[in-house]
Amino acid sequence: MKILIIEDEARIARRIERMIRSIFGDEITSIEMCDALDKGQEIIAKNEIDLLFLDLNLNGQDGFEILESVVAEPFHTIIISAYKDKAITAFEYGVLDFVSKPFDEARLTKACQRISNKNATETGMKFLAIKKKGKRTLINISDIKYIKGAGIYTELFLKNGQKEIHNKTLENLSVLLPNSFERIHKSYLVEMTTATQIIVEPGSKYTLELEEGDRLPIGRTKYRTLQEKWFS
Amino acid sequence: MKMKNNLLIFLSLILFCLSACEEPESRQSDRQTSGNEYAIKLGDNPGWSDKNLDVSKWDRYENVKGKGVFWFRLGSVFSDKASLIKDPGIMIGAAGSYQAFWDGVFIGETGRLKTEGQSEIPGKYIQYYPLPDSLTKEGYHVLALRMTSDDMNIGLHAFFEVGEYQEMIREPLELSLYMFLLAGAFLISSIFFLFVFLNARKEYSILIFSLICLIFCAVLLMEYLKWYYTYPYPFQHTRLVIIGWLHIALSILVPLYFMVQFKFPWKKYLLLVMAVSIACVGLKFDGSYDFGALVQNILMWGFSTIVVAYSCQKRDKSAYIVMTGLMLSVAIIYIMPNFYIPWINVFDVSIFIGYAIMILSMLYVMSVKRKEERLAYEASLVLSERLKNELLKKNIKPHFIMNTLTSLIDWVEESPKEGVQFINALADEFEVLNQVADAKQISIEQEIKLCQSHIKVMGYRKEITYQWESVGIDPQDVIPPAIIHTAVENGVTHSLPDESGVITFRLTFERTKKYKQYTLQTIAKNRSANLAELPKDIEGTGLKYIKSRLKESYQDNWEIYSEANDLGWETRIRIY
Repeated sequence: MKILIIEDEARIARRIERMIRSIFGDEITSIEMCDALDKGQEIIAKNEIDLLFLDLNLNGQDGFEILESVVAEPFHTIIISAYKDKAITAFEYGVLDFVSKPFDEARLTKACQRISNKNATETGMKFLAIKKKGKRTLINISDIKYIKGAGIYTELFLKNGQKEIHNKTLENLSVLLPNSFERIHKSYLVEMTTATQIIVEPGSKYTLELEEGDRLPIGRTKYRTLQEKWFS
Repeated sequence: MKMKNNLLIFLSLILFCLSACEEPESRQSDRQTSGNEYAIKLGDNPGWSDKNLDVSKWDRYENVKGKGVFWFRLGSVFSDKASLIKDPGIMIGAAGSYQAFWDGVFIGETGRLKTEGQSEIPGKYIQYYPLPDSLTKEGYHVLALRMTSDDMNIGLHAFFEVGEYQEMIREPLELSLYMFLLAGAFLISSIFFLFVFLNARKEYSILIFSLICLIFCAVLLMEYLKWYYTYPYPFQHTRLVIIGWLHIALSILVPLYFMVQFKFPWKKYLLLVMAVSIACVGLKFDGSYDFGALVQNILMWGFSTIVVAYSCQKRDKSAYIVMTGLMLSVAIIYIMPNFYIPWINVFDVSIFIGYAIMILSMLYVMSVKRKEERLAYEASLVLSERLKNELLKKNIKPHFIMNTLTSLIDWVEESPKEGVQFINALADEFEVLNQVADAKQISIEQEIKLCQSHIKVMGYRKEITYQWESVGIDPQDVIPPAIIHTAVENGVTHSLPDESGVITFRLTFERTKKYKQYTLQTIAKNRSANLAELPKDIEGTGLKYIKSRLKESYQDNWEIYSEANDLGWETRIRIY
């Protein structure tokens, strides 16, 4: 696991580093630290990182531009900030967690655990930031019908029929998205309020039908939970 | 809406003034005045009082000054209305001492004529004498004055008017009554605004206004003096000269007042033009008193209009009202004289009504400006309060406090000894801050202490060595609180340490005759290597705080420069 810490307070950066070393132990392949966003972006461009710890207020700069730019990237972002009131907005943009300062190791551990198992509490994500021809745009989560995994990136199928590409993997997105998104297949994440019925076809083949007639395959192992959770 | 109301009040005040000055019904239509016919002859002969004397060989202009007794005869043909005058009397205005004969009959004398061995005792300039009914019938009449005139600055002249004796004395006094009321109002205004000025020394517009009111009062008194003070004839010249100077003073002060009130940008140039043109007019019309004053007034209105028009064009609302006032007063001054009102010089009345309107409009501007000042003052109070809050908030802002606490926890967990020192440094900073928070100005020593404790705290947080150097500090000097501290904060935020991990702040103080200056040099690398890339307003709210504090203490008498240089970043605060 490659980790980047962007934090302009040296003492705090070292504290984060110390804690995540104890949290992830041998999983860590590298930890890089920097104290300014431009340097951070250079590192992001050069290395494929897996997890970013970001301070929102860097050297007097307001952090929301930073936030928008990092949430469009494939990796997860955990915000560590003094400004608790920005937490809601940060979650709306799709960060994995928001840790307010001052913090201890227990809190940081909880944040890191979100990566593997989706927490019962929703993050409250409202937008997905995507990069399109070098520009960033925000897509409203409520405009998404379903998401198809395509290796290291995902395809977003929107209600207006358009298709967009997102840099995060289906795994990473499934952690962030609200509970109404259900993983029905290893390659599909569906907004279940648009689902109408499960069609059972011969040969134990299950298909989910959506409001506008889209049909998506349901994974063999997922059928039972889906049926119980959404159609009983 | 409010503007409209103000305009209404303003106009009704003007109407009130006009009504106060309204002329009583004309009762003087049967008055008879001296015409153009007059003759002068040096010498003395009792027979020259004769009504039917042939004066065709007499002179009209003769230099009789100081040459002893001469005769001055004025003839006039009375109309049929003359017989309507009951209890007739004559008003004689003459620049000399004289014995007066009406149609050859001695009617009175004033002063003492100069004779051999006896000097002249100046006669009264205006005198009233009763006349017998029998001598005021329709037809030709002659006033013969046996005169001497030693003091002739005014120029030899005489005139008379025949009418009802008592009425002729009373009516000018009735008109004077209104004028003196006006004069009293201006005297009180003048005194009031003088007191206002004495309590607010820097507001010269108020002093100018007080002077204008005083001069205006003086002009009214001097102008209407002649009706209640029977002064010796040489004083007529003195009086006119005084009036002339008063008008000159007005024609400078009134436009000057508007220039100050409306902050006219080319004050010096216009004053120069005014001085030159007023001097020219003064020289050209020296001696022609009324006309000279009239031209001076035209200049005054002209220059005032230029100033006010400039402000109108700047959309200053009060300028519109003043412009209305100016136009109205010009209209009254130059239109009113077209209506004939006997026995008074209509210009003498109209000019005062015009002045009164103009002064009203000045008062209006002053009240508007007072209101603006009050609002500005209130705003400044709010600003002070806000700055105080901002100062207190500085160190409880989440960014500061939470980052500090996080670092602090870390220090305590990892190396408790240093952690305690960190806490002490933080306590120091809070203590100084607490001491200075309420003050508008603090000693530079306190300010330096504040900066030093701040960089100590930041040193623990950033793990950078911050150094402090002071050069040429005058410990007696005072400055607004936390302005250097704010510049230091900015330095901490925007600077990178050099190779040895050090950032140095050097505060230098200089004092010259014109200003004192604090220079804070941050010796470090700027975060952005390319200076051009640095945002222009790199210091954002910090710089705003410094500027507001400077404005609070020094109004506009300061400058601040904040720019990158070879050493790092330089912030210069110059106070004049």
